[in-house]
Amino acid sequence: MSTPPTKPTAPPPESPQPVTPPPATVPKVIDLPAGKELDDAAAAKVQAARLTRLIVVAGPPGAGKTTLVTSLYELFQNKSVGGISFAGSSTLPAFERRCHISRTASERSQPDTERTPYGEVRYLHIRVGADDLRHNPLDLLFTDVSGESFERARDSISECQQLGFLKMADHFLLLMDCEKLIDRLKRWDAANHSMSLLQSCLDSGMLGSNCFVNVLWTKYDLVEAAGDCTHDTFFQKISEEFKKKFGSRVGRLTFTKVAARPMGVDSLEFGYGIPDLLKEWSNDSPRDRAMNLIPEDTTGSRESEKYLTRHLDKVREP
Amino acid sequence: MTSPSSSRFILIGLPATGKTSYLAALWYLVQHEQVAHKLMLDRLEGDNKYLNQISSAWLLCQPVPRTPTDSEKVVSMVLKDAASERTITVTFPDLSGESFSLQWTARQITTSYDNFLKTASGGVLFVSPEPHKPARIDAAAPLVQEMDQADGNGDAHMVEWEASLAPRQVQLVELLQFIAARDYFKPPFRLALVISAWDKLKVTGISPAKWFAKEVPLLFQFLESNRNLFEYTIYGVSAQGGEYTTETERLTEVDPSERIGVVSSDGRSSSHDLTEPLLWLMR
Repeated sequence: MSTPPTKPTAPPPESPQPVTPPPATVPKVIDLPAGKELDDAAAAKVQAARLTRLIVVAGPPGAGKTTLVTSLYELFQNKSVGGISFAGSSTLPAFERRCHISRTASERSQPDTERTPYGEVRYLHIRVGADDLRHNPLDLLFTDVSGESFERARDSISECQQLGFLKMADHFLLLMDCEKLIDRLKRWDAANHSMSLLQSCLDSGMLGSNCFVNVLWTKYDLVEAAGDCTHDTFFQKISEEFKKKFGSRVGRLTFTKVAARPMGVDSLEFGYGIPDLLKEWSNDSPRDRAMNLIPEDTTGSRESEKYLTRHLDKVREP
Repeated sequence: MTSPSSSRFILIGLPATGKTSYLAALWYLVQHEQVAHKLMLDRLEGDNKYLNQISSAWLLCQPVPRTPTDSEKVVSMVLKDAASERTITVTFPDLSGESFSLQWTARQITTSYDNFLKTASGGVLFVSPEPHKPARIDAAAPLVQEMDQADGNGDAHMVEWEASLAPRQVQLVELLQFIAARDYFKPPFRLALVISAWDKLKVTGISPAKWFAKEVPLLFQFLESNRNLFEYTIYGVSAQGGEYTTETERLTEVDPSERIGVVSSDGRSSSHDLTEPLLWLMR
C-alpha cells in the first residue's frame, strides 16, 4: 500500500532577519606630513639636516611680508627664477593657502594676501637648486611672523629678545611700505619706525655683524605710478641715514626696490626685484664667511657638524 | 622553462590622466601583432578579467570604467622581450586617480600602496594636457573685473580655500616628495613621464620635453633639480588615438593597435609601441 502523498508543508512564516551590512573595508592608511607652515622645532630639523639659509622677513602690518614670499613661490610656478630652480618644499599646502586669494580660483576680482595673525613664529620652506650655486641644493626658510610682533619688538627690547629666530638670521629683510613712504604726512613716521625696529634688534643683541640686512622698498609700483621723482630723493636721504646709523653694525646693508604684485604699472613685471634677492640669498651668507675662517679639521664634514659649528658661531656673537 | 624576472611598476596620476586607458591599450597591443612592439605577451596567467574588461571598452571606443577609489586592482602581464627572448612579469596596481588626489588633500596613503612602492622598480607618471599652472588674478585682472562688473558681484562672493584647488603641478610635486620621503626610498627612482592625450597636442608641433618644461614648469624644475632622486624620461602618448565622441569613425578605420601613438621626448620619433616606457624603466 502506497502512502498517500504528503501535503507539502508550508514554510514557516519568515521572521524578520536583522540585516547585517557587510563589513566595511576601510583601507589601512599611513599619515603623511601635513605640509603646514613649520614651527620652531620643525624649522630646526630642516636646519640640522641640510644647509639652510634663514631669511627673516620683518616689517609693519601690511608691508607685504607674506606677499613677498608667496610671490617667489608664484614665480616658480611659471619658470625658474634668475636661473635658480625650485627643488622642493615641505610647506606646499601652506603656500597654496596663502596664495589662494590672489588667484582666480578664489573668484575674487582683486588679488590680496591674508594677514598673518599675531601669535607663534612660523616658517615657510623652499628648496632651490642651480648648477652654479655654491651649495646645491639649498634650503631657504622664511619667517612668517605678524607685523604686530615686529611692532612689539620695535617698542621693547625684551619683546625683541623673545624673537629667538633673529639670532639665526642669515638675511634680515626690513620691509618699508611705499604706500606710506609716498604719503608726505606719513613717510617720516614710517621711516622712523623701521629704523627703530632695526635699532631694537641690534641693541638687544639679536642681530649683529653676523647678518646681512636688506631694506626693501615694497610696493614700488605705487612710486612708479605716482611718477614723482622727489620720492626717489626721499629714499636716497633715508638710505643715507640707514647707512650712517647701521652700516658698521651689520654684516652688509643693501637696499632693493620690490614690487611683488604690481598692479596697473606695465613697466614692472610680477615679482619685480625678487629674482635679484633670491640670487643674493642663495649665493651669499655671513655664515659662509664665518665657516671659511674655521680650519677644515675642526668642523668635520657631516652636515650636522657643520650646523653645530655655525650654530656655536651664532651663539658666541655678542 | 626559465622562471621569468619580475618588474613592478607604480602607475601614478591624478584623476582622468589616462592610467587605465594606457593599461587597456597595452593589454590589447601585447596580445596582437598589428604593429611593431618590443614586448609581447608570453602567456596568460591568473585572472585577466579586469584587463579584458577595460580592453573591450577601449576596443569599442567607449570610456574605460573609472577605477573606484576603494579599489586597488593589481594586474600582471607575462611579457617577452623580442630582442633578448627574456621573459618578464610586469605588475601594476591600477589605483584610482582620486586615491592620488587624496594623498594631497587628506595627507594619507594606503598601506597597500606603500607596500607596493617598497618593491617597485620604477613608475609611470601620467600628466594630462590640462592646465597645470595657477591663474593669478593680476594676470587675468582686466577680464575678471569685466566679468564682475557684468554680474555685479565684486568680491562679495568668494570661494574658500581647499586643498583640491591647488594646481595640478603642485599636487604632482607633492606626490613625488611623498615617495622620496619614505624611509625605504632608494634613489634614483626611475620615472617614465607619460603626457597623455598627445593627439590633442601634436598639432602644435612642440616636442613632449618642450611642452613639459613650458606647461608644467614647477614639476620640471623639481625633477631637473632632483636628478639624484628621480631619473626620468618623457613620452607623448595617445592610448585612445582621439576623441571617442567625435572621432569614432576615423578610429575604427584602422587596426586597433594603430590608434596608439607614442612620441619620444624630443619629438623626433614616433611609433605605436606602448611598451617603450616599460622597456626604458627596465633598462
